Amino acid sequence: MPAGYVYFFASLLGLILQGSLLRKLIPFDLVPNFSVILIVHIAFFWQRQYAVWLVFVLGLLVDLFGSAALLGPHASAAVLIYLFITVISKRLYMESIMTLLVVVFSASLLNSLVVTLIHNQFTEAESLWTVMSSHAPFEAIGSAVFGYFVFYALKKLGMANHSGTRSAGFSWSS
Amino acid sequence: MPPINIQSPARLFGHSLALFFAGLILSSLTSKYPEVAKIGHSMVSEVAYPVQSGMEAVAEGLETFWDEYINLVGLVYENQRLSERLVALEAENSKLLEFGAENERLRKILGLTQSLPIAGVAANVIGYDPSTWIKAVTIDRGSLDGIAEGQSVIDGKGVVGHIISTTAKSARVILLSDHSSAVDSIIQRTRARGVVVGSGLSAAQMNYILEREDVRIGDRVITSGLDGIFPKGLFVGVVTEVNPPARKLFRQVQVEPASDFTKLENVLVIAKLKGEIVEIDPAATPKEVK
Repeated sequence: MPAGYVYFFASLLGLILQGSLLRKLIPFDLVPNFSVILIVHIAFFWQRQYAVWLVFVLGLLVDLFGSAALLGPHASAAVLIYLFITVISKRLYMESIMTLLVVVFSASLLNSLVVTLIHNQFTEAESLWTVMSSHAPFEAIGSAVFGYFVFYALKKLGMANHSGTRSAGFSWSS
Repeated sequence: MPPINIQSPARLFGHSLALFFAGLILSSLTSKYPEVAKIGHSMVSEVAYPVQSGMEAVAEGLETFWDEYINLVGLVYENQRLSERLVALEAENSKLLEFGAENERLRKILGLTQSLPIAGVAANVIGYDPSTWIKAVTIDRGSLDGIAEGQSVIDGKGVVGHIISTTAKSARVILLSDHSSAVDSIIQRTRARGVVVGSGLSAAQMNYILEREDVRIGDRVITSGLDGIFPKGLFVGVVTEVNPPARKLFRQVQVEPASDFTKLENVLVIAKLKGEIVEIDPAATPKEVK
């Protein structure tokens, strides 16, 4: 299956999981944000010409699954995260698991920040302080932890060294 | 290690900026025309419903397995029975207190009480908002079951929220904890009126309570029935903090919602009422209706 489809269906599955099963099984707000994890993976290992469009679609899926009246905040945030990570990924030592954890953690925080800012621009939503001091850090921790497993699973699917991606891939031991 | 097939920086920045602003424009458009977003949500809900139901069944199965077979069977049953009994008694106590106060007032003013039973539809929560900060849930009843936008939703403990969108077989409930949620409420003891709004966290705030009103920690907050969404007398929560007004007309009152929004399972959707004083049948808690 082409990598783009794998990312799309993985994102769909992740959204349904984080909205149902994981919400019941995982305490506090530690439920991961699978979209962010996948966007980080795409930015690391699938830097195609049209990857940013796929990232936009993944963000839009989150908006469609959510309850908020707005469509677009997650899509914009996803594009921003992708751009940011693509730019810095050339300077990262990607063989290290710590790099992955830190980047997913940061990406999740950035996602919360951008989404909240956009929401506040157009509707009445939680204050930035409330989100960043209560929910966002937990989601970022959950995403970083689950990021390890998602990256591992995608590597097993041959996605970590996909043709056309950076050759400097992820090679932490399995 | 040369980068392979990586986007040219100019094209990457160009596409990214275009898409970023496309997202902003879409946000702006959907803030002005929310029905567009609703159509999108409905389409996705229709597609996701079978999978969400399946996931919910798996989650329920795992939970049941853990609770009933691994975690001391007898104690779980006993605890569940006592918890349900406690919830029922709390609900009944709240209603009795309210009815007592209500009867007193009505005897003086009207001398007559007209009561109506609530017609409700029991539903199961099958999904939460994917955002970490839970603001809405999806239930497994939709327009085919008579669910419509604006109907109020309660559980065995109190007010949960109200319906914001429906599909044929499912509906979305915006929770009391959401920032955009507002419930016209009164302090049960003193009848001081205010509006309970969500704070995005598990707590809520009661706004617009005048400085002269007597509000104390532990006071029960109930719906006033004046917002046209929630019938009168539903338990909203308990006052946990009362701050004196700082150069303001109104007190700042923190309310702990009666319902635990992180553990919603069964809810009752109430048909929309028009401000009548109603009597809530204690037997009409979701589990029993179901």
